Amino acid sequence: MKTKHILFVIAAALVFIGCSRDEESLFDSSASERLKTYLTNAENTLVAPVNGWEMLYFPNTESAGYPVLLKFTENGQVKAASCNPQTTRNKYKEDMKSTWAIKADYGPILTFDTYNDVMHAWADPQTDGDGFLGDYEFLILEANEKQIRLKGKKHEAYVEMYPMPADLDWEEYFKQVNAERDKIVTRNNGNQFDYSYNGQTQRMTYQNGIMIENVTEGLIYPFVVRPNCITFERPLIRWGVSSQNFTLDENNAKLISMDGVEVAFVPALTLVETLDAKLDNNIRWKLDTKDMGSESKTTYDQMAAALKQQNGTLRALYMQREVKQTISTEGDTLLNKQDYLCIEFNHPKRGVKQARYEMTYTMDNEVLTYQYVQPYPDEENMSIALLSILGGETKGVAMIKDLMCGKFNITSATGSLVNPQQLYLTSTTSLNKKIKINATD
Amino acid sequence: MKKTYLLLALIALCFASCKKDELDSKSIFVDPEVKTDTYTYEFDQWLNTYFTKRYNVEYIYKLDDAAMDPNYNVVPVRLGMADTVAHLSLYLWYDVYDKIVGKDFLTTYGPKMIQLVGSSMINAAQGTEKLGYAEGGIKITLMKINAMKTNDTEMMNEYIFKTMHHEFSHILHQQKTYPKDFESITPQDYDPSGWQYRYDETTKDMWLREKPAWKLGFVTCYGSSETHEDFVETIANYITKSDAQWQLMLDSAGVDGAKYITTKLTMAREWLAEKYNYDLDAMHREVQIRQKYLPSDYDQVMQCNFDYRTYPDYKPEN
Repeated sequence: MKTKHILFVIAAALVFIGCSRDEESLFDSSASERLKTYLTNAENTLVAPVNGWEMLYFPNTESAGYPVLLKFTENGQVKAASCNPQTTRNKYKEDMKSTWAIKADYGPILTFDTYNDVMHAWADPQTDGDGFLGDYEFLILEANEKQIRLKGKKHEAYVEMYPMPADLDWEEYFKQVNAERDKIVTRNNGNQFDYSYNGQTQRMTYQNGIMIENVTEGLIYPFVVRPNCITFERPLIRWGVSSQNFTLDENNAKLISMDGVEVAFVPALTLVETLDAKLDNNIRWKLDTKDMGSESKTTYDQMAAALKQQNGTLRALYMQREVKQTISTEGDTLLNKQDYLCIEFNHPKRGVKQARYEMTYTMDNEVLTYQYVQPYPDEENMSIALLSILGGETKGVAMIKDLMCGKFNITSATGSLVNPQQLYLTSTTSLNKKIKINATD
Repeated sequence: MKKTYLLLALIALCFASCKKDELDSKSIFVDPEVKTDTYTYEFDQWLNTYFTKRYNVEYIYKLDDAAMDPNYNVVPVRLGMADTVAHLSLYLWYDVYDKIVGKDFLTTYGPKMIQLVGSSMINAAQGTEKLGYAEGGIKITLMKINAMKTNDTEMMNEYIFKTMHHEFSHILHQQKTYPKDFESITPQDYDPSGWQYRYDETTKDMWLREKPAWKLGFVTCYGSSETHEDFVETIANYITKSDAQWQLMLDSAGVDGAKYITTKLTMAREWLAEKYNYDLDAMHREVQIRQKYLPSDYDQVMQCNFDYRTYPDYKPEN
């Protein structure tokens, strides 16, 4: 009898246990089937666009982005192309001898699993073990026909992909990118912008493809330059306003949001200050010998003729600056700046040489004062040698002063204020004393 | 009696309640589909024939970063290099063991996986780079393959085949204990954390950079890191270095250095012969002559069934 009771209780319990796992399934299929379906859909999405994808590639969260064009084919082959200053030396490069795959890891992963000259140049450890710290395996966050969102598996940068227009040639795409780079970023290190919204501003400095807040431990915002716009690695959120894409306004005077909000990057420096900031960032300003006022042209021609008479050639003139870091006795970092004018010339007997002359650079109410000081010492004494070729110290120094020194008003020669790479320096006393200088590396 | 019926009814209910939950015969794991039109299908089939079926080894050339040490940044191998290294591995490695040690040797003791990686593992802080490693006697990983110049035998030896002999020798001594006396030949000079500072940085010749280690009785600086590495470096270098290179090392090592190296080689030679019936000198000779007749067209090694004597430029040795 006792045994029956026990059996009764066990059987009763079994009934309820037996039924308890009849939970309603939230999904129509198993987890593995759903994952397989997701991966298949992602594969189909990747191979769909006839002209491939525009990938906005950021190696990591602290690096500028660069576009990569990709054409995935169903057989597992991928063609990748790029043209950028970091990995292709600004030359168009493509490689189609490698493979891609979609696989399941801790999520759906897009991988480039054999070496591609374009894709893996970012991840190659080079000799320091790091290289550009880029990824070639990406977690797929979202994949549809209009956009694919990825996240680098190791270095965690967000990477977006957009279908390429069917009729846009890949090399032409990069020509457009490079034209846009020239308008916005080329040789623009150190330039400052006020990120502005509704009367509020945050000062930022442009440096190597990144906008950096001018605050101690300020945030950094890497972006990529595309044809006609720039796109940040992730939306830039400030004052409760979010924006990720910006384009030059019609006057090339500022970068305005394309995301329906009234935020903009407005150049914060005057042209005199921009000229100064670029000098601080190792950018040289080269005299444009094809575009100058009549008075300046006469002086330049005299200088060139004097060299030619001695079987030499005048090659180029650069406004330059040497910035040296020193530590004060109190432990503060001090910047010693020395401006100089560099004249490159063919010495009649000794080949290509450079002569340097110490200068002073001062700014006052958007007027630049550029003054000659003395020859800049060098081992071969080229500064003295050139003056001698030009007809002696007095005559030589007079030519330099006539051509490059004085008080100048500055105007942009390209019209762009976002990246004023070419400037006119017009003397405050004579409109015919006018030179054009171009930013150069 | 009523209670008994009730009990039976309850038990019946139990099974009834479970009845509708029949197991689905379909596996939740979906078999990978074999596609015959993939970009690498032909190469994969070739690998299946010559590596998987013949030597029971998986040749992994598509990199899965999850399989790598996350502390290092590495990149995959180029497809062309994967193809070249596969052909050369058959010619300069697998087929040599078949001929010298026996057909079953590598299927028994050989690695079950060979993984190729395009770059090396660089530890910039220590100034070292890893060119390969063996895991549990099963898997050999070969690195820095993309940097290899296929017409440079010395470079291929250093980056690939020396590494393969090195890692495989680790597998051999993990299977059968190597002579303990080996550890007492130069016990005072093993330096696990400072071996990399022994290179002669004044010369650019990769092999001559090892000279300071020779004088201490090691064939390489890495060999002076610890005894296991010393043992396998002795074997791997003896196989892959030419007679002239080996003699140059002994001549440069000084009396003591040469004596220690020769003692180590003798010990390794006897151990391999005794434990595995493996003739180290025959292995050295075979590898050297195959390196000498290294075809530039790697399909040639397949067409000639690895027999260098049938190559057009073969000249019989006197």
